Amino acid sequence: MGDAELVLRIKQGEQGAFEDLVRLHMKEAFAFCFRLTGGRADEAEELSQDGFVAAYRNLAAFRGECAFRSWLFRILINLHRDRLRARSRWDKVLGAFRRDVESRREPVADDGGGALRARELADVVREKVRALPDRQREVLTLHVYQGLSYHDIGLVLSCSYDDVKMNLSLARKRLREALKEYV
Amino acid sequence: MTTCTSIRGALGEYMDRQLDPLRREEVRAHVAGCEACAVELRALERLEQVLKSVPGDGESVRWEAYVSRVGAAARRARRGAWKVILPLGAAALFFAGWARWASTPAPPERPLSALLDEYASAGAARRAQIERDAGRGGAADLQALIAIMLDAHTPPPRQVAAVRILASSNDERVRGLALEQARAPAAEGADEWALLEIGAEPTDDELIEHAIELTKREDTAPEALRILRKIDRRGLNGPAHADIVRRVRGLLASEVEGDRRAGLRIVAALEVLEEDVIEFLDVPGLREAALDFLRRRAGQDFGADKEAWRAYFARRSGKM
Repeated sequence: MGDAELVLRIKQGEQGAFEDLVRLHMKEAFAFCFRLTGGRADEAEELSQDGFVAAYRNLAAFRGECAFRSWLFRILINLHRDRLRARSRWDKVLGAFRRDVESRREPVADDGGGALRARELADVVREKVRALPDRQREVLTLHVYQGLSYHDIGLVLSCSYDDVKMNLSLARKRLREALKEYV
Repeated sequence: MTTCTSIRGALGEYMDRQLDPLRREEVRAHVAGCEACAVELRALERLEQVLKSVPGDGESVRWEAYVSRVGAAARRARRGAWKVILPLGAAALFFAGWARWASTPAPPERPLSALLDEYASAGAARRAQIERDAGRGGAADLQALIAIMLDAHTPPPRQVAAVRILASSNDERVRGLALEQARAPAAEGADEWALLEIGAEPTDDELIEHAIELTKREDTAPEALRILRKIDRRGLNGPAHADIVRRVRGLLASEVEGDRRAGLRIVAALEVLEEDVIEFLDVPGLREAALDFLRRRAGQDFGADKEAWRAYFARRSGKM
């Protein structure tokens, strides 16, 4: 069953249809949030769940003018931005807690096959992507990891094709510099 | 004529297959004959490979539980929407003879604001119960509390209640947020209501414990000591002060060197503990550290004479 039919059935009050819609998109929504939050699984789970609930609440406003997944991405991005704004003033203290957690992590043993390097690379890439300005991170994530075209990203972020192109180009430029040891 | 500058500006779109066929062919032909642009394209492709090589993560998620949680939250959201709609339509439904239908919706949930108001005026036992209930609530409840805490328009008693409930959370991040919120107004020179509340009651032991834990680490100690000083100053001679003193004594008596060091850091930072330090002159293993502290603090040396130290600090603070 496709998105359009499920949405229609939800609007008619069928709760089971909403859960089917969640099942259809949950892994992609989680993966998107995982990238958006810089690889924090717990935050990604919470953010993606809140995104589905927000979508459910606002389903009356969804008229099928774009794909449901694009609409969901837009909701997730807006929720994530709200959270970033709310958190920005607490970053100093949270930073201390995060450093604490990170300093207590067990070091990963290298298996001789490069597992350590792969994990290190993954951590560094996530960190550098997370450090990008919001719009650049969103465009990069939607394109590189979710496979959206420039046109569709423009619909999700309500911006022009040229804005998408420019932000993607700037993100790549920053990442090339930040990851020059690895590329 | 196609320039390298024009082509470089289109390499990203070329790699991403966003160009129309004509422009795509133009870029392909240029790159085939221009080594500099080919190098640039290869660099972009390598970056793309590195970015895509980083795995996602969904292994830790229990997907069926995930669906259940989202479904339950959506059902709660639907009931919430009905609570708005029903009062508006209640009169019309009554006159239409649909009273029976109108009596069937889910029982109304208590608004969070009313709960916070109750918390603000409740006794310790009821407060503890509300804190426990909040801890059992889901992410949505916590977020609602955080939103109230952060909202500048929330009335102070309600905001304080939200801070206190969140400060009792088991989630370290949530506790950190509450801790910072308690500190922020004071840091900005505004009303210090939150600290006053936090430092004034014995139920803040968890907050104090948390700050004391942070004094054990070099990087967080300065911030934690600042928080403890604030709490101690507000709760002078009150239960918060007594709690800090008790915990510091425990740290100083610990066999773990890091604990003892943290204890002395707190002693040095909280001037009100001078009289307590005098007591440590009798404690084997702490005598030297206590003496060193007292000498530095007073610029005097009365050795192991506790009475002389007490008299000195009493004189200095104007008690005698």
